[in-house]
Amino acid sequence: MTKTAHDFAKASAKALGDRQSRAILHKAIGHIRVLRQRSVNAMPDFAERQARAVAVRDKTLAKLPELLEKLEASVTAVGGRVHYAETAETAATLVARILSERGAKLVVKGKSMVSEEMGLNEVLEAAGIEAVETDLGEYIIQLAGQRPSHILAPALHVSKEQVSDLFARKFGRTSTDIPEMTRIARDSLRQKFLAADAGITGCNIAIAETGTVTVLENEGNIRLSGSCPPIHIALMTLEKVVETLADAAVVLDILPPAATGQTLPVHLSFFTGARREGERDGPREMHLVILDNGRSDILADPKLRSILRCIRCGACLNVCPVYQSVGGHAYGTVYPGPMGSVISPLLKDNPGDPRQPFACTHCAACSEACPAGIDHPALLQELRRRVSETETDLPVAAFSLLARHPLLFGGAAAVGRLFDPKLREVAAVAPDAPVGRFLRCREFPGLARPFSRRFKALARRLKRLQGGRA
Amino acid sequence: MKTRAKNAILGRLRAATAAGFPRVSAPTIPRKPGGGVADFERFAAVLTTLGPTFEMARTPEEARQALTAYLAANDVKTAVRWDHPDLDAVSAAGVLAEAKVAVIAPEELPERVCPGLAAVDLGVTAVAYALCATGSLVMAAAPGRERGTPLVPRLHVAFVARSRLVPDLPTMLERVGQGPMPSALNCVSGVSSTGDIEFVYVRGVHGPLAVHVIGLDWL
Ligand code: SF4
Repeated sequence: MTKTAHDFAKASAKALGDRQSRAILHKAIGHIRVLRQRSVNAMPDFAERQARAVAVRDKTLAKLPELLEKLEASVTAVGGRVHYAETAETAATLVARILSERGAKLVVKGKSMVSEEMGLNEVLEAAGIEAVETDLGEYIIQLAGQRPSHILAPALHVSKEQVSDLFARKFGRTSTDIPEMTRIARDSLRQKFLAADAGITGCNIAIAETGTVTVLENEGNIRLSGSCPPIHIALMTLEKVVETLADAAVVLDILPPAATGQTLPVHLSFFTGARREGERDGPREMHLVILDNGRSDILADPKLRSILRCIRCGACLNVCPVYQSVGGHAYGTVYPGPMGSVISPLLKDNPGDPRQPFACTHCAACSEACPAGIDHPALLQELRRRVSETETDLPVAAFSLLARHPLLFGGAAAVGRLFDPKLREVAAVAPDAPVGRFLRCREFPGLARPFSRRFKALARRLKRLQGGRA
Repeated sequence: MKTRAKNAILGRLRAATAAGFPRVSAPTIPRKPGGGVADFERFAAVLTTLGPTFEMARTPEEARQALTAYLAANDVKTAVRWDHPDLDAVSAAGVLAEAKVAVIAPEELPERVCPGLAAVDLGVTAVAYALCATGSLVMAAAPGRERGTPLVPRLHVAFVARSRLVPDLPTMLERVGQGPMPSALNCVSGVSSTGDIEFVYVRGVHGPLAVHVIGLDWL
């Protein structure tokens, strides 16, 4: 298992201590959940839509290599170019090369998780290319030198006062009026859109039969990025494809309601290749970068492959008690929450902490909310099992040994009994030792009167209760 | 190098799907045909809850009056317009000329069209389809129909002919699928908006600040 520098447990402990961020997070997520619920309630056929979406996603995964080839042929036929990238790093290098070869200096970007996964901004910066995030939330995050914390609402953890301070520093214009702050951002970003040498966008759905890249958004920034600059580079991970326009319609039936509670977002754009003969705007060149970064191996893994059904709606994040408590940054990865806990540890470049799946409480709120029918708790359990196979967890190993040897168990319990009920205080002496860590967030079962001794009395009581019924 | 990555990825995917990949149990369940209503009443009702304004024209003359009034009310000095039969049907060009609005012909736009449009007050377009269930305007790029016209100027006026109304998105995609896809097809439901700062909803972010739709009842 890959070792990462990020320690999910430490980062979440820190996040839990930040009361202000937790309060903002709580409010924001509560808001999205209400919107989503309202829209789901308004759709009597939601379950039917969901079943159709699951079927389409499964059909897609079963035909994935064929569909990607079809997509490539269609994109090429309409004047676009397709590039495959094995890892996040090669993808970022590839994008930087396309841009450098064309002398691009300024790039506008529309919200794309894949570009985050690639670490694209850093690579572009190193190549001397300025990359400006144009989604308002992402722009705020970029100006603040932070990372997104939610896949749909990247700045959901930032308060308006913080945005106001930031804009005052960056633009010398102050206001705490949100519409006015939005105008300040609009003015600044307009200049970038109009001057940009290239636009980089994500892709919510790619349609194999037509070679179309579909993007959903409310602000219009992605539409601008794909319309105005002379080069358009769209980034996708390989499972984002569907076969036909009809299949895309099935996914679009469920994605916006599950994501933001909208029936459709304000802008739903279908970009098919570069500008055509006689057209005077739109990109002269269109590139589609298809990233693997570990996903082909996930497809080969029958126990985990269903995570590739994910359509990035974010619904699972919004209902997850862990995400709600620690926020997106604690994960230290591009994809947070339940979907992130499954996918992140499996990525080749920039994977997450392999112990991230251990944070799951198995409440199953995520799988209930997921429009793609993904059973996250089962997948997380499988990931935990695999980690346990490769790592020895001392307390667990000790317990396993004791459980297999009744005599040893009895002995250990007798030692424990000596300290009970002062075990917590004893553990406090060495808070980072296994027992200390265990007790930090759990109640230890009472040892003074072990179950074996209480058993007889309990059995008598049970008999009494059952009384005449026996 | 490029083909190597492609071959490696597709090779792994092929191996994965060949090796005991379960056949999809149920074939994809077809979506029930839209069957929804396609009338102006429904379209306008949804559209106006999303931010745009709407007015209905029963005759070409009413449509011309509607555009004239809009130009005056919004202090429109410059405009661009699409080359589209529905605009010809209301002689939009004539209305703009009469109102002394400087119309920038597509051929007068500079090499980079969007920067040229940034200072223009109004973009005038017509739609390929209008979706009644979601109040959406569907615009298709083509020669003479620049992507930037409904996107970059401060204001956008769209003409929607009755014959362009369809019930919903799947119906529209089904129709679109019968011909070649345009290079850009934009389905716009409302006015560009954001909720990125504390979920306070703000309209008019990167796209036009206001959208006005004129329904052409006779067309
Ligand atoms: S796992 Fe399901 S709920 Fe979570 S983002 Fe993906 S599709 Fe949405």
